[in-house]
Amino acid sequence: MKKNKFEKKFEAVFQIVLLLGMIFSFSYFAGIVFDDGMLNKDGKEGRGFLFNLYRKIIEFVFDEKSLVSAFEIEDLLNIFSGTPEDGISMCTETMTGSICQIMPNSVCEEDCLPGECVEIATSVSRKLMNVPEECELGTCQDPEEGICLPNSPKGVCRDDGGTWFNDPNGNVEECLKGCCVLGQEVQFITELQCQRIAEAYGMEFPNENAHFDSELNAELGCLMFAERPGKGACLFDVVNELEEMQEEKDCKFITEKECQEQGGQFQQAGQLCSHLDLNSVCEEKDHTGCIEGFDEIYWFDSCGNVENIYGTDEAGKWGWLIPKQESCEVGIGSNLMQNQRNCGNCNRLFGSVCGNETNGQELDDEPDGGVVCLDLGCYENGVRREHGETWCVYQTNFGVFPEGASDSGLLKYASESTSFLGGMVNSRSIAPPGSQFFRKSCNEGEIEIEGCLGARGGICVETREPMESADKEISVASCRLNRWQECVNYNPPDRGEGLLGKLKVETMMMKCNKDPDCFVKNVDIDKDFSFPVCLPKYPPGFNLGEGDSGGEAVCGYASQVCPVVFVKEAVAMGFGGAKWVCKANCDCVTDVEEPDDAQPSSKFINEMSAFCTSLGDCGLKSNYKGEPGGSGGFSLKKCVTEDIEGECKKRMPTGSMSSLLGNQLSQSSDSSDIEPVPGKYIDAGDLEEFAEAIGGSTSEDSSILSDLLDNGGSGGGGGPDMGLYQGDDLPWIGGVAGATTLGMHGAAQAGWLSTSTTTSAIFTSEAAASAATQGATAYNLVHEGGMVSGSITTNAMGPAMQAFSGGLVGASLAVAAVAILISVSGIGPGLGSAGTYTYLGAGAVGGGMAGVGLGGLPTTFAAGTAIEGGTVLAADSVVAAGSNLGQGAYQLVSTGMQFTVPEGSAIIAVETTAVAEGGGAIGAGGGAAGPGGAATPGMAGAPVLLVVGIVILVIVFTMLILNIVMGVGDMKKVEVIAECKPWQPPIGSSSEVCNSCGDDDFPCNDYACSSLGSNCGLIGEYPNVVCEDVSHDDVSAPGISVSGEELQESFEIVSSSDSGFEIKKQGERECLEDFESVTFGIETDEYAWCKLGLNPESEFEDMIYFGGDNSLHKTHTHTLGSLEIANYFNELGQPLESEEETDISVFVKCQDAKGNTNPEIYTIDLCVIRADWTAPLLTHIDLTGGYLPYGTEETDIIVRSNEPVDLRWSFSDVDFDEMENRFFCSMSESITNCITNLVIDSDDVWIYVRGRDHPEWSGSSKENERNENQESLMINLRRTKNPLSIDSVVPQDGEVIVTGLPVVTVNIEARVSGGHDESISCYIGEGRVDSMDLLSEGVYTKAYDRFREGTHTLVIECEDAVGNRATSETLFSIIKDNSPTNIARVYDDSGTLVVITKEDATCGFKNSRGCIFNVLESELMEGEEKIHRTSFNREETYYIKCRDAQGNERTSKCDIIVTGGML
Amino acid sequence: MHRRNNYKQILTQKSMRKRGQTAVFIIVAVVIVVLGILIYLLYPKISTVFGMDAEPNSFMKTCVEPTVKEGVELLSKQGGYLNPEGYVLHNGNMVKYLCYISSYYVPCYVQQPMIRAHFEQELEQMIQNKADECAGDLKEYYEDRGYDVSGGTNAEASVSVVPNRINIVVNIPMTLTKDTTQRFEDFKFSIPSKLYSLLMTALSIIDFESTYGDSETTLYMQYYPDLKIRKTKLIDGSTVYTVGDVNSEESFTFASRSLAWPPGYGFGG
Repeated sequence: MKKNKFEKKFEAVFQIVLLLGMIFSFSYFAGIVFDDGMLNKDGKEGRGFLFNLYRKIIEFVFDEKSLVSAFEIEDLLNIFSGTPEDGISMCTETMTGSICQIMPNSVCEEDCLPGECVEIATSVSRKLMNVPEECELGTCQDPEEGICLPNSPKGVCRDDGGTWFNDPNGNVEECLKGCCVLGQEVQFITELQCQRIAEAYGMEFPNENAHFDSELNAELGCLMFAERPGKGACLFDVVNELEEMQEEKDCKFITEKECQEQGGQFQQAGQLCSHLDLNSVCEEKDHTGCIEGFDEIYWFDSCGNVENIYGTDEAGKWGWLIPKQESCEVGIGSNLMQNQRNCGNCNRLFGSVCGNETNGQELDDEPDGGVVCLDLGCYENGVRREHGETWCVYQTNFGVFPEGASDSGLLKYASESTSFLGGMVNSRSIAPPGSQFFRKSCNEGEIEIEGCLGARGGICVETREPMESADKEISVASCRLNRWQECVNYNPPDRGEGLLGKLKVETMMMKCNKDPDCFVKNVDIDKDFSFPVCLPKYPPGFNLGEGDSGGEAVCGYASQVCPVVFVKEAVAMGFGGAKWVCKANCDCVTDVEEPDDAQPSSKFINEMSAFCTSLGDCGLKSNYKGEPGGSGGFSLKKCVTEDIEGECKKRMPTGSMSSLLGNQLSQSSDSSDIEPVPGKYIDAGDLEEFAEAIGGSTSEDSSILSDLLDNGGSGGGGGPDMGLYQGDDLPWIGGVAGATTLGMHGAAQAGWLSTSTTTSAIFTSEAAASAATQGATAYNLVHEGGMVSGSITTNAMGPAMQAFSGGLVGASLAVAAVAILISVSGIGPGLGSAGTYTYLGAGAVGGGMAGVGLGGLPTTFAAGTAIEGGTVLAADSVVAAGSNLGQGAYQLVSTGMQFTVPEGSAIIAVETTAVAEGGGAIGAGGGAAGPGGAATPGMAGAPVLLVVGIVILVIVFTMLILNIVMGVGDMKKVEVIAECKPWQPPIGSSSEVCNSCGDDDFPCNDYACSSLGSNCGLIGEYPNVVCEDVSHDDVSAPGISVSGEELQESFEIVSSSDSGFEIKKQGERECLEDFESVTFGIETDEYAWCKLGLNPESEFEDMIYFGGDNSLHKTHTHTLGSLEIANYFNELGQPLESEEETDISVFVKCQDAKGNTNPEIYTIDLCVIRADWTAPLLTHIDLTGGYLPYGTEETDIIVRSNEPVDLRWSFSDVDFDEMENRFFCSMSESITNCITNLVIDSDDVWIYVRGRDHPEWSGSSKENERNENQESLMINLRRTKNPLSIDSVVPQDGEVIVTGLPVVTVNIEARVSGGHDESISCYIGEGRVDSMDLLSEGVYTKAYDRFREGTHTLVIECEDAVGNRATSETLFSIIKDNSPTNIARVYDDSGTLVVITKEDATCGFKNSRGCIFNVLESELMEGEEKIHRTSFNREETYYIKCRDAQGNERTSKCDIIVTGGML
Repeated sequence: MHRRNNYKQILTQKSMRKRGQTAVFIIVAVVIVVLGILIYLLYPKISTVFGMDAEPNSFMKTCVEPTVKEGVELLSKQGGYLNPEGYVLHNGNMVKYLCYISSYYVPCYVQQPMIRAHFEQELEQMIQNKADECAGDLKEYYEDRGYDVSGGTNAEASVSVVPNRINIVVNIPMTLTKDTTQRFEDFKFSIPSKLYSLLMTALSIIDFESTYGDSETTLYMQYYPDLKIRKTKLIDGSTVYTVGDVNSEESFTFASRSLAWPPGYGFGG
């Protein structure tokens, strides 16, 4: 339909208004952006996306005030490597006589003999190289005895006369074990060893009685199935006294050779002497008996010759030897002793052995002999265990609670992939301190117990195999390493960005779920405080004795801060007063009317406690005897700040601490944790399958995700080498609270953060916690938008339009005024969306009416304006966070979309758009309602309209002022803090309690003993140890003295006494200035916990631990910052005066293991001054030594300052003011992190950085008082010159390895070039399963010793510390050749015998009759390939054998026998 | 031809037989007495003639064997070392680490792959002085009996541990001269012992320790019922093994520290 003229005019006017408004709006935003220094002059750093990201990262990671930041990259490296970064040495011989010991450089010179220390790695992340020759590992053979020992250093082997082979795994032909048959004896040894033993026995080797069978290459097979020399009846003539030959003959059951040697007549092998055909004097089955070295009961004939196994059915074979496997069976089904009374086929491996009869164990027909198959089984609690059976026993309950919490499988997790689910809420792993895993075994009727690696470093796993034809299972148990550290490593260092980031986290959680030692716990307290974390199923124990600082760091992993946002809201627009309403992370606290009264909720406490206790011996729980530990393992604090952007000044214990802790203690004392669950065990599972699965090559899902992750720049896996933490990859869990904090910060800055969808997008996963705040701030934006729009006026264009213009101007001015008031007063968040718009609407109506009235012209009354307001310009985006659209933001978007259109109104609405991306949502909405509707002509109503309008405006502004007075819109942030620390043993346990260690039938050990009490200690030596109260006489408190060594260098002790000491700063100024800190220490004369505080009245429980460490120490160190002191006095309401020296005292109390606390407070005196006379101290935060990956085009630079700072940089070393580039710095009151982005256009870049402190004084009268750096911080960035690449891999792709060994060692080698060659690490297996060793520059090797026949795929990944990566894959085959070569041709070449073999071989011959000889011991023919020659004597017979390259040769046959030219 | 019995002739013959028998008894008695007197008077010479070949060996065995047994016992308690370096104190004994690594998380390095040879060397050194001493005693013994003894100094003992026994050879060239001259190069004797199999088992355990960081001892005992293995894990990650033979009650004790893990996460341990 064609538009009329009026409509066209209206549309034009509106569009002009809109365009003008947009100009103002964008100008406003741009101004803010420039003001914040986001863009520099050359504009290189002007990408808002990146800067917001940087800003977020800074807040995310380097929030020094946050507990979570305690766990940084360096800590991780130290914790999981177990060795320092100062390089690794090989000590060829230590002072104590140990050889080839790996140790840090720092201790090598000290522990090693002079000149015996060789550096083999520059750091723990580097692989071993230049290993001294004497320490190269190989296989050492005793050349005399043929005994081999793998993993032997070359030096010691050769020094003692051994032969060393360059294969550490023993896969060398000389060391191949086989079955050595020596008469009736068999041993599983090497061939040479077999020969030597035969010689020691005086036996000829090899022969029928003494030979080596390399085919039987399994020990059990050798012991059970070795073919022993056949025996048979050997007849001897019997001559009577009259020297007459008797018909009946004497008989012996011996070997043929023995028979010949004794002059007898050997019959047939296996024929018994009692065979009737032999007519011997020996009568069958004379008696039964045992034979030494054999398990079975045998019949013996009247001559004493052994016959068949007792109970064997001889039908059809009477008089012949019946093999064991064809004899009767003692056990049937599950009853291994079923036929004990009538069968003598005992078998030790199956639980019985021939022995003397006992009561209840005897044969039915009582043959003369008194022997029976004795039962070797065991009984425990009425349960029968078979001989050789092993099973796990558990001292307490273990694993994940509730049951099934760890069973969330891959599919289940994948289906919930968008919500980071995968673990169960409220789940935790059970591990009472002091408990250990044990394994029991039944051996010949006796049960033995063996502890797995202490402090749950090892776990007992079990496999239960059903017995054939029986409803019984046999257990096989073993102790294996507890792979708990893998669980921690599954937690990605950062939460990731967008879809890629989520996939990264999900991938790692899936791997965690599949790892049998880990489980995913979903910490889900509030929608904005929810994250998955991978934790150990079997948390390890700590060293519970003296200080284990590692425990502090690890337990601190579970220390979390939940920031809760409260907003004071108007009730019924303010007519009903105002009240505090919780807006974000509300489930972290109890439901309260006042934020100050907020306490951690039970949900928060339970989840945090479960997180804490699942990490190890952390938090509050009971020891393995059910006794609760000390209270220092877990604490709750809170911190209330009036300004949500503000930092927490002081963390205070929660008011209901004791009751909350009481709840926790009662929970942790639950007997379900302590009592072992009958029948529960850890299934051995299939670790190889698991490793394959997480490797990614066999799992499509994993592979896809891995590919995605690879693009993201870091791989999975991890292990002790934490090289994956690079660049922006930063500790992840730490980011949760960091992100939350940032979210609020970001929300507070939403005015500039929410200007574009791009900017918003980066917040999709980060600003979760403060959604409400964002919404609230967005209202401010709305108001500001309103102000802008309100400033738009139109010119009178005619009578009608004049009325309209008057109304519009009035409405706009009123809206602007209301908006300004709301914005300036900050009550918007407290009014809510309805309230805000109502006030705006009312203002618009009032203003409009007044405007029309004042205009005195025919009035166009904008009756059709939206109910929510006459004019709304809200053309700004609103940020939603994470997967959750903030409530306020949502309301705003919704409001923007809900235009109510009165009938007849002319409406042009800009449609609100919403973009959903990555679970987040961005509402870019706005709406504008223009004037329209019916025009009502006439002047009569003008005064009325004017009065009504004014009245409305008065009411509106009165109510707004009232709201301001009531504090509507005020916000408070309540941080509830869970501090997780190492578990503390009970303090001051009685002697009886200590002595109870071991009374539960589990051996007492140091760990178990120390868990019973901090004063319990193990006395004596294993196994005769006793757990005793080692401080039972201790009734005195620890003595405290100053430790000068711990004092920071720039300070000095000016006086000291028994009651304390005084420290001062060296130099002119003696007091601690702003942003400074001092480190000092004390010593106690016994192990003790020490705490300190500024309040002398504080109880020991309420003070803070020295250095935050709740372990027992003799030396205690603490760092105290001037801001902490200032904050303390601020809290007291006695702020320190500026530039005035104030003397303060730090009060110290210490408590020993027995619970004795020093009655007299120990004081440390110092002075502080609120002044800042020093320039900022700048540090470049750099994890790669300034190196950058190949092809880097831009990079981030992070510089840390010890105080808030304005930071600039330049390519030249100039004064601060001349530096043209700026850093973005986080908002902080102390340590500040600043970031900038730098375009890299050459391989070697230098930049210079300077800072000026007190940015808040910028442009003020104090500008001149600001301190700035006089020397630049110089930063050098070096880009990798060549890409990292894997040039070649051995075995080559498609290579075939032929071997004669059952298991072969394959030396894998990768040749690498490019990259940052000083830090390249190569790994085997997708996902970095195993690291390779650096053999020489660019050559990485790894020997794998368990390769068997088949096709194998190897993935090799290399990367350097800078971030360069390369991957290669090779596929090779192993073919086993265990058959000897064949002769292809033999001929006489004019007196030379020529033998041609089908394979390369060594051939030898003997001229004496017989083919039982070894090729290498015979006369060798010339030629080691296929052609072999020797001189030929036609008169001789040549018995020829050949040995192929794999060592295969025929044992008892010749390859060919050549006689006189004939074959 | 049929012969008739002559009764008188028969009686005469019987009487003569009785007298002859008596004479024989008397003669034998005289000879015994004379021999006794001769032996008494000429004991040294006779003893030389009859016991010369066997006695020095027996003498040496009797003299050295207690030291050998003591040495075996001591060495067996200390992992085959007389003065071990790199040991763990266990039940008052310095038990040598045959496989050791001081670091955490790493499998051990074999400290003595030639354990049998080393045991032999240590035992040889232990009995060396005793062998010298015994050689001196032997020399003095013969010199007291009028022999001219040359050599007999600088005894060299050698030991070999073989299946079921320990062979000892004391090499000490010695020449005895009196009426005749006899030369001895060495004296050999054996002691029944299961040490060889115990050492082999120890080696096998070390193999496992150096490869896997631990060993499964139950199987050893199941496969070889004469073996008894006691395995004691110490808090510092060390393991003390005692491998024993249930029949002879001999045992061999050694220590290993392999793939040790500190309590908890790696600090303070």
